[in-house]
Amino acid sequence: MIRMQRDEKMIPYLFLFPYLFFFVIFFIYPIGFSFWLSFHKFRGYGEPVFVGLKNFYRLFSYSKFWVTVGNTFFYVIAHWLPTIVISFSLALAVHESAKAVQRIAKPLIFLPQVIATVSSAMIFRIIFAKNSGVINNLLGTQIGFLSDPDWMRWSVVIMMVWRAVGWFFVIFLAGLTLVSKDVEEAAKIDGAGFFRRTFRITIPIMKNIFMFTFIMEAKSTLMVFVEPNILISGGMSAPLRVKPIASILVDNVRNGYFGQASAAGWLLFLLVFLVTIIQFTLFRGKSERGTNK
Amino acid sequence: MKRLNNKLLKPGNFKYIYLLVACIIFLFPLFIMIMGSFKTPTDLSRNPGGFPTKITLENYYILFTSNIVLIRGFLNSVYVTLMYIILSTLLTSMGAYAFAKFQFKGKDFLFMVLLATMMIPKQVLIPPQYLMFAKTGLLDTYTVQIVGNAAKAFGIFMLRQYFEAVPDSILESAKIEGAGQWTIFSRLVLPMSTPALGAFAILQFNNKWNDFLFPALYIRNLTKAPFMVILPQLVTEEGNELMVPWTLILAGCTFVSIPVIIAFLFLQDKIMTSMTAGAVKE
Repeated sequence: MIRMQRDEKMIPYLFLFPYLFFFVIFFIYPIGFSFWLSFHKFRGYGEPVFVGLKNFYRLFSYSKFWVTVGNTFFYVIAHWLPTIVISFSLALAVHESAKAVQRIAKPLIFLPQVIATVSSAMIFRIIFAKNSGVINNLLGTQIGFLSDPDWMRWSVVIMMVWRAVGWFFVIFLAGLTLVSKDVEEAAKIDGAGFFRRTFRITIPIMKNIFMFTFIMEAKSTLMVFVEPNILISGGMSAPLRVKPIASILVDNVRNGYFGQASAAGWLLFLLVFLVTIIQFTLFRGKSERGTNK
Repeated sequence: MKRLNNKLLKPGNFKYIYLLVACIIFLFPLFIMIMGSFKTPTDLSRNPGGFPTKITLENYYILFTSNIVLIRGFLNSVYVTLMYIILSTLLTSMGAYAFAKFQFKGKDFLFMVLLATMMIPKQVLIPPQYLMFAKTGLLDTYTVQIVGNAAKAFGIFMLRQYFEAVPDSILESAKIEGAGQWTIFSRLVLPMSTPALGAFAILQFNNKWNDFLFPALYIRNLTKAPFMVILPQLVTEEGNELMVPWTLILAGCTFVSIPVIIAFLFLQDKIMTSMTAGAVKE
């Protein structure tokens, strides 16, 4: 009897073991290692040297680092507004449409989401190319969308909007179906037109969903790497004008400055952490939507 | 005719016109991709956004015969993604089952740890992982691509929710009939949870198939690299913008995207819910 109970107690651990094995080796240990590295100078060979906060200090004193912070915030803000306007208006249009139109339009609008980021970047390089790109060909111009410093970041933003709309659209569409039919009916009886209804009733009710999407998108955009790098340079070394924060980490890894790279990673964590705190303060006590589902 | 025009331009139809225009704009890049893959290089540079003046299969011929590095990458991607999905689904479902159906010492603590690690950007892992893999000779292997990030916290949360909904009474009666815990899990719980496992697998597919940064850093030997790492190399290796084989690149993009698009059209609702409802954006 005792033996059997002991066996029973082991069972959950046996189920957990494989997961924890990989989780500890490839996740927990690297996290600790990375934290340790961020206070050391280590080039991948020889003995690591403890340098205190010097890695962080050096990042802060590089003007290059601040440019990447600026770029990243630019991406977060510049692509969010057009994305939300386009995807919400599309969600409204689909929501108001006949069922048959909904069945066709919904997957088509979502479709860009399933195209890999790298493939999308390749296609957008052809769209934005200076010589014989799609847009320049159409306009008969030679604008350097991918090389002109004034344009580059906007080209990245346009591609990000194209990739993000489908995701926002599906979330908004789900949100719109949640907006109570009764409220809508009441507004209709009151004689409120479509626009009045949308701005007075639908948008205020969906405020939380807007906030939620902004926070989710801000978090993933803070970590952006592929879009600016592949679109502008075709590789991992985009010009400073478009580099995101993650590029600082990647450049340092590629040059073998592992301490410096880890420090950049933890600064990135700090930013994501701040956004998460904002998320929890905003959504505390409100609907569960802010957390997992 | 005029009456028909008036009818079409009724305010109620504005939404349909808007949707039509939006769909055309959103699908235009895909049109460029597919059409471009059937163009000759001169045709693409003269008319990048239109239909091919003359359809050619040359690009696909090159893709499959002379420049097979892309096909190699595609096969690498298929292999790695498949193994990754199998491994991570197995690990995660077992772990999530323990969280959903058992009480054990340290459960709350573990749960908090998992929750906390979800906030850490995955890039933080790169410098230490690179050093670990370099030291153990795992750089340039398939193993590192499969095993590297197979255990992620979000999967536990996603599957746990689902397993919790499996009624305890069913598990109890199976136990009374003498089924062992592993049998209950593999023969009863997993088959009952195929929708959740499917949703999880879709997310994992999406992450692995699209991953660029990790394999680009860990895999320098192109014979082991996935498609998404090899594809951009075609742009940079020439150095000269005019020499880049754009039509071949578009053929490659079309070739890898078509199966995904077809799968999406068949499983659209499932894919849309699993990519948005869990709200885990990578």
